[in-house]
Formats: sequence, C-alpha cells, structure tokens
Amino acid sequence: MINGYNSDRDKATSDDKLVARSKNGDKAAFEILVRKYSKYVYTTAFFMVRDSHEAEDISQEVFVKVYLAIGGFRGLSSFKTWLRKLTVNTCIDKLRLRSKTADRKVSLDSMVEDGKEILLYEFNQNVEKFFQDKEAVKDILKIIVNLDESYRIPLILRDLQDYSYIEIAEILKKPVGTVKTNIHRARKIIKNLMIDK
Amino acid sequence: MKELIMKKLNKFFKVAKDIVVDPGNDIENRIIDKIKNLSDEDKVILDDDFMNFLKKSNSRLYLFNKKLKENCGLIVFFGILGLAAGTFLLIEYRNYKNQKAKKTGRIFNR
Repeated sequence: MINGYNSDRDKATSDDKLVARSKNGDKAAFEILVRKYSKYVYTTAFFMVRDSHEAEDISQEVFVKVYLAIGGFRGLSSFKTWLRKLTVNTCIDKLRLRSKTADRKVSLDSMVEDGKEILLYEFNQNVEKFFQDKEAVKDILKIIVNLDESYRIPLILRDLQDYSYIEIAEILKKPVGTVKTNIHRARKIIKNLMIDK
Repeated sequence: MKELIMKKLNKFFKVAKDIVVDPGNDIENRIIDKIKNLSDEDKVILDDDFMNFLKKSNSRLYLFNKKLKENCGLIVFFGILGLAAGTFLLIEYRNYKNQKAKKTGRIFNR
C-alpha cells in the first residue's frame, strides 16, 4: 500500500518534471511523455471509436494538441487526467461527426492476429494478479467493444475512465438519469453474458 | 450469485483500467515524427473547442464549481451538520446567558 502510494507520487512528480521541461521547449522530455502515454491514449481512443486507424489518428491529434498547447497547461489537474480528458473530448467530437461505428462488430481476437495485443499497463505493479484475471477481463472488453454506442461510451467513461455521472451527462449532452440508466443496462448486459459463459 | 458476479465485475473493471492495447505499429515513433515535422498549418488543430477545454482546465473557479456540483450530496450533508451544530451551540449559549442572568439577578437581589 505504502509502496503503491510512493510509486503514484513518484509517477506524478516525474510527469510534473517532464511537463515543466516540455514547457521550456525540451523536445526529449516531450518524447518521454509520448512514449509513456501513447498506448494509453490509443487504448482509450480504440475502445471509444472501435477503429484502429482512427484511434491512431486520434492519438496523433491528441499529442499534437498537447505539444502545441503544453505552455498553457497550468497543472491544476495531473497531466494524465488532462490527457485523458483531451482524448475523450477528441473521441466524442469524432463520434459526433460520424455514426459509422454504430453497428459494427469488432473482434479483439482479430486485433491480436493483426499484431495488436492486450498488454499489462506499464504502471501496474501487480503483474501476478493481472494474469489471474486476464482472460475474464478480455471477455469483458470483448463484450464492451461490441456494445451499442449509447451503452458503450457512458460505461467506458464511468467504469474505465472514472468520470462522474454529471461529467458524462455534460460530455454526451444527455440527462443524468439517462446516463445512469444506460450504464446500469450496460452492466446488466455484461453480467448476463458473463453468466452465460 | 448475481451480487457475486457484480462484485467480480467491479474488480475486473479495476484491472481493465490498467491495460493497454498495443497497436503493434510503432505508434510512438510516428507521433514523434509527426511532432518533429509540424508546420504552421497544423496549428488549426487548436480550434475553439480545444481552446475552450484548455481555458476550463486552467480555471480554478470552473474546477471548484464542478467539484461542488459533483459532491452536492456531501455538501448538503455537511451543510445540515453545520446548521445542527450551529443551532445546538446557539441554544447552549442562550441557556448559559439565561443562567448567568439568573445568577447575577440573585446576587443583585441579595
């Protein structure tokens, strides 16, 4: 527990330092931030837009925005939180522009065949525990990725990105009640499909 | 049974937060290359929506208001608690004053 706390604090401190260096025009520091967070941004985008090429475009767009605007980042939230919100906003904008993902079926297995793999996030220390749950988590992600957009996006924002119901309602421009209902239904679908397995 | 699955589901969501999909195509270097070759035209990416987001994320007032909105229940709870404590202290103070007045009244009468 104490180690976890220290590692979180160290992580934030190192991000703060990298951001400060990037603000001063240190490109090497910004490269470290890109290497550290590019997969995180890609994963967030992938689960939201369900298209690997578009997820990559979004990742590029997000980092270009961050690079151009990092001088204006005051650090009132952590860099990771800021990056996550920017990624989610960019994805929502893309989803609003088109609705082609609405009926698509996406297979995580085919992604693995294409050379894409589900990996342990580099910040997670508890490797052993992860591998015990890996298959179940993969099953859940497979279900999530094929959920209808109206269920998938609020569920991802709430359960994987820790957004509050109010924030989700603001982002999706829907009433809080609708958001809560959709998340509840999404969880129910996942639960029922997991029982069937 | 269902509760157990729901509990497990929450645990799996926690684990799922810590995983990434590896795009397997050297995404980091592509992003870095893109950044190295930015031109003035790329600055159009900083549109009004983004500037609005940046402004909000840099505003203490906005973040404070957001926290207030999100923790409405907690604020109401502490508000009621504060009001109850205030009322209790006020009543106690008035009792104390009355008692003191009675005492001083007695002394004065003697």
